[in-house]
Amino acid sequence: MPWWPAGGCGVALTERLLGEDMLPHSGPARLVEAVLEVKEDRLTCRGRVPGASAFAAGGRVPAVALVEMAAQAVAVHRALRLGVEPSGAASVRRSGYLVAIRSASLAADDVATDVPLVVDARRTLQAGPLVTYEVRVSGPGSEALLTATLSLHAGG
Amino acid sequence: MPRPMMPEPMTAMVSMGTAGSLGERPVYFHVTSAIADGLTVLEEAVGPSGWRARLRVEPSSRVFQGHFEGDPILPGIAHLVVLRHALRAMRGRGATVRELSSVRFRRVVRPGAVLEVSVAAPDAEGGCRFDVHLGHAVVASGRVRCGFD
Repeated sequence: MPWWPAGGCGVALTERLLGEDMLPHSGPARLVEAVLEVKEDRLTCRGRVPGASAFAAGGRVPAVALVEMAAQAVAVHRALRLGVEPSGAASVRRSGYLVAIRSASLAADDVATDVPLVVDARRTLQAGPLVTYEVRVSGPGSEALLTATLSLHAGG
Repeated sequence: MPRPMMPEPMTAMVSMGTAGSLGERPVYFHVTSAIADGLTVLEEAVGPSGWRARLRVEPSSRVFQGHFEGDPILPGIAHLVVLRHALRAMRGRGATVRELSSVRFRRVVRPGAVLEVSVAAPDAEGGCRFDVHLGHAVVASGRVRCGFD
């Protein structure tokens, strides 16, 4: 039984757009746009890879870019747990950085840019400054494009 | 003492400036100008043991746009994009990054860095190891399983 919510991009949840200062990423490097649902140990958010991404060409981007999207979702969850509002009421600079991809499975070689995707992230372990999440990035048809286990360092 | 760029037989082929054969097995030299915007290929070679390259991360690269303002750091996925390129160089354009495991990002990479990347030839199951060095330091490493579309 998967832990992530059913419905993928079609799920009707209330979006909360991320403020400019919610993530340190900006411009074409920002891949997460809005929080759909947040709980103590998990987060669902919407993202997309901008066509202006440095890694995009011809409206496509290597699917490995979704690892970055998932890592940003984890950073957003950490920021929310630190009490930062999605609207950007306070600034979060580098609320964590990716230190390990424990495992990852990619269903495609590349994905279209500027297409809304859904990221589900669930925290599975916290040990000191190291936090581990299981993540899933789904496409417009709710198909899994990426499933992975990522570890981030809290930074500081 | 700088780390040798590649095993001696391949170095010899580079000095000859031409493609040739290493026993029965071919050695190819790709001429790729950039893998992504601002990731300039200085040297690139494919041999029976795998793929190796030296890349310069140009300060003007768009990969630093927004990553991060006033604190430019090469995104970790840049290493994975290079890895995808290496698999394609070894196995053709249908080669894909299917699975990753035990990937570690050990150090940040700043604008202007010159990276040395090595990706072993995939085994029978498509698995291989990769390493990214900055000088003597390992900045990223891990395992990948290659698939085919």
